[in-house]
Amino acid sequence: MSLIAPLNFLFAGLLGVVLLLYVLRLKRKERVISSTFLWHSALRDLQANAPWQRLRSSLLMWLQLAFLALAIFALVRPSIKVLAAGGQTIAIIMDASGSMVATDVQPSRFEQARSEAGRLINALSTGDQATVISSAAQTRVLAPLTADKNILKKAITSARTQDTGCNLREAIVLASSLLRGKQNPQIYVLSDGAVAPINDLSLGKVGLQFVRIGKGNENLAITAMDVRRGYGANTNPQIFVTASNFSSHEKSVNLELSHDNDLVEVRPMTIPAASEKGPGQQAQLFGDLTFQQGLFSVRFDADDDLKTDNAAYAVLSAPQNLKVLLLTNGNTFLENALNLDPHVQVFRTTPGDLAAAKAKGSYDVVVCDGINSPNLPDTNQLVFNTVTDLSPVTKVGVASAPSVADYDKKHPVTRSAPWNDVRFTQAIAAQLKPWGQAIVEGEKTPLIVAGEQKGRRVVWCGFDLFDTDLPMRVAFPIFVTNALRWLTAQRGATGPAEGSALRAGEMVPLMVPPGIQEITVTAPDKTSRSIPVSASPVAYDGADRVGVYTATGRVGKTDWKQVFAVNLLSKSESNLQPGVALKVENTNITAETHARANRELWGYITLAALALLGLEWWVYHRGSLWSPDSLVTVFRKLRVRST
Amino acid sequence: MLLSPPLLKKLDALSLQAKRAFTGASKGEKRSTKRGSSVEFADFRSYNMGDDIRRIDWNAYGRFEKFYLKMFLEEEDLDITLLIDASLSMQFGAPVSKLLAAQQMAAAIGYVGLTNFDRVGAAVFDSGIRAWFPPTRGRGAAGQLFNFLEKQEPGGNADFTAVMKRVAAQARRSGIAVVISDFLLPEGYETGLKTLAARGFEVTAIQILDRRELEPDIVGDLKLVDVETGVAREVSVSDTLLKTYKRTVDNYCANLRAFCLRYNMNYLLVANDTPIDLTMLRLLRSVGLTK
Repeated sequence: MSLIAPLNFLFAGLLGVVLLLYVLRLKRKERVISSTFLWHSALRDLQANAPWQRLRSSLLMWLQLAFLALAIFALVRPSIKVLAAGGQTIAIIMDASGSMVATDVQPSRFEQARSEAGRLINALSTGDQATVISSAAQTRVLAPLTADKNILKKAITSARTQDTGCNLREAIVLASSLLRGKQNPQIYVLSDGAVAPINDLSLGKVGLQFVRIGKGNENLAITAMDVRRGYGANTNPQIFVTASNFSSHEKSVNLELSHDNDLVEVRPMTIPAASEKGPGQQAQLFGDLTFQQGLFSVRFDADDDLKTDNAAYAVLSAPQNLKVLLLTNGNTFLENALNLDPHVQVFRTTPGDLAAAKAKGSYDVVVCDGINSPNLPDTNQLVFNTVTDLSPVTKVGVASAPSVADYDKKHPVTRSAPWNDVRFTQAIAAQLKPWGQAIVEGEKTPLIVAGEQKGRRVVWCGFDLFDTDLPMRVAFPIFVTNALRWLTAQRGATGPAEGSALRAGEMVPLMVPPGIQEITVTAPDKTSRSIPVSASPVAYDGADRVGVYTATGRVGKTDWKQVFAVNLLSKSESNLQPGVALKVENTNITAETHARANRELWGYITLAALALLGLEWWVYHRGSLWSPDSLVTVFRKLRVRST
Repeated sequence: MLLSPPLLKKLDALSLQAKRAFTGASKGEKRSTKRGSSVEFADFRSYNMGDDIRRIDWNAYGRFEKFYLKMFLEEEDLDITLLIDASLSMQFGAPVSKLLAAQQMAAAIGYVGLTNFDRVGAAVFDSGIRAWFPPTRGRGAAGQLFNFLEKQEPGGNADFTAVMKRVAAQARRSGIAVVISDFLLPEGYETGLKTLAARGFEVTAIQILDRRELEPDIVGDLKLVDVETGVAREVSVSDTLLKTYKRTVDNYCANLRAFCLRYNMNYLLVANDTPIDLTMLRLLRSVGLTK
């Protein structure tokens, strides 16, 4: 039993008031009679002049106290949990995220959620309405608000999981908007609770109940996979893998690396048990691989509760030969850094020769070394110390001796190199355009900004390379290589190493060559979906399963094919530990093992209180229930009946 | 006028009767403890020197050859003492106060006594005997009795026991004592009544209660003040309490009645609104005071 309004217990002070009335003397109307002699035995009190009287036990007093106690009890609104309270409108949110396919409960968490939802539907009374919502990376209304149980059951049957995270907030917002203004609105969240705290959410009068599904946390997962090409002359890929152990025992497994489905290497590893700090982790590096392209996959043979996260995939496209136009008046540092990569062909030009260079052909990247020109080729840009038309900033002034305040360690352009102690004598003070993202920030101005507009990517650096010690640092060639790779990367066709780590549920932009009218995307489960092409890139929103996807098309007699991989790579989804509570707006909603409706008891208590009030009235006007005369009458009646 | 002429006419047919004989002061119409000259045979006894030879039963002499005297009952007058409670508690009652009802009853009983050549005396008391009407015979004294009774006003607290003791002590002869009171006596009535009985009175206790004392119609939270003692009692009148009160009244009256029967007294409970002719013609006859 729970109390909805426990503060109303403050009304218990009224009990004291009732008792006070019993010990306080009433101001009575005086009446002269012939003799009080016969009233003696019926008199309440003989102390006529004292303001207080001794508290005497009286049936009326106890009845009044009991009535008041019941009334107060009704005010605190006690409730008990029942399967269905009746007269309600409910929304069933089924968590369809990746962790719900875990098999710690049989047959699986999602099947149990399906069963729990079925129980809720079956328990609906006539006239009750319900809606079914599936919540994963995307929120889907599987059944609109209806009283038709068949529709609701079909919706539950049709629900399926996605290998994605769970956007529970969006589902709750949708459900609460559907239920707003309805009778006794109640949201049931059938989930394992592996979600982040939900903030900025106002439920109003809509009730929320969290039904926890799942019990164990026996899971090993690949929580990170990174494929990187080497820097400089050696551009062979390296694969970084992080395996996490969420169980309470140390686990030993064999990590297998495959290339294009051929086993390349098996590496035994022992992953420590999870602790209070988090899961036990073990990182592995597969270095100096000779494969320049193809599908890389890692997996281990763990017998755990969630199989989806036991493998990860990365597609590495063949290294491109880049044509880079360097617009400079002379910069040895920059030229050397660009020439480090054997796949980069640098064309150096000056402002005066720009038109001629532009006429010679197309370029993958143009590098502006402090020079701006209206005749820049329409391509990706790496810009130093100037603001071009494509730059993601606008100039507002000059910043003197800015220092690095922060930088994005995970961005493909700035990762793998320290930026903390890089010095600058001066830089352009700039203001970000909406599509720009500052990846190295000074105290007052962004120093390096990355952005993409109209299919063109730009990395803008607001400083002259001669005004900084960056060229003297090891970070510089790494930065230049990273920048060139990110500027020329095709999203969706590359592995995480090239900045396009695809997680299940994300929208995948597919760069489709001109002329293709329709492409077909084949999912890991071999199902295909045709998508008409109106413009490139084509947005593909069906990547909700972990695995390798293949997009194909045809231009005339030429086949086009693009392979991309989708991974779970989510610690929150791989952590199968069921949540004990759902945190919504700083309120912990405690997990229930089964869906229960709150049935308020105040109606019954009020009826009991009214019955007591009637009894009190009867006793006051008709006499005591326990008077000897009443008992004698009752016994006589019983005797007459028995004879 | 305490009694109406039509009622007086009805009362002419009544007479008072005692369960036993009393010694009277002069010839009358009631049996006396003395043997006398009435026509009612009483007993035989042997002849002694000096007896009136006119009373010798010659039939008995013929059968037994011994002189026997035939004895007849003597009829003398009867002493009737009316004791009327006129304490403050008797002023209550509507439309007829308890005191007025007592005055009417005393007047009627006295009238019946006087018309039958009985000696009728009356005493009005509260804490003591406030007024005394000396024993008087003859119908002609009825007017004086009525005037005496009519003058009495309620007042004072009743001291029943002391008054009864004084009446018993002052009485020259016993007879019928009719005590008319509400008998709401915190100190008790037993000693007073027993004193009268011990003095030889044949006691008739007539309890007059106001109808609202028998069936109160008060409700609510009240402070009841005793008119005689001034003692206040706080009471929250509910149905339960009224039932308890009525039970108490019934028990009290039943106890008084049981006491009277135990000591061979007559007892009559009369409500103040009971018509006087009903009381005289029916109720008093039922208890054996009139015939």
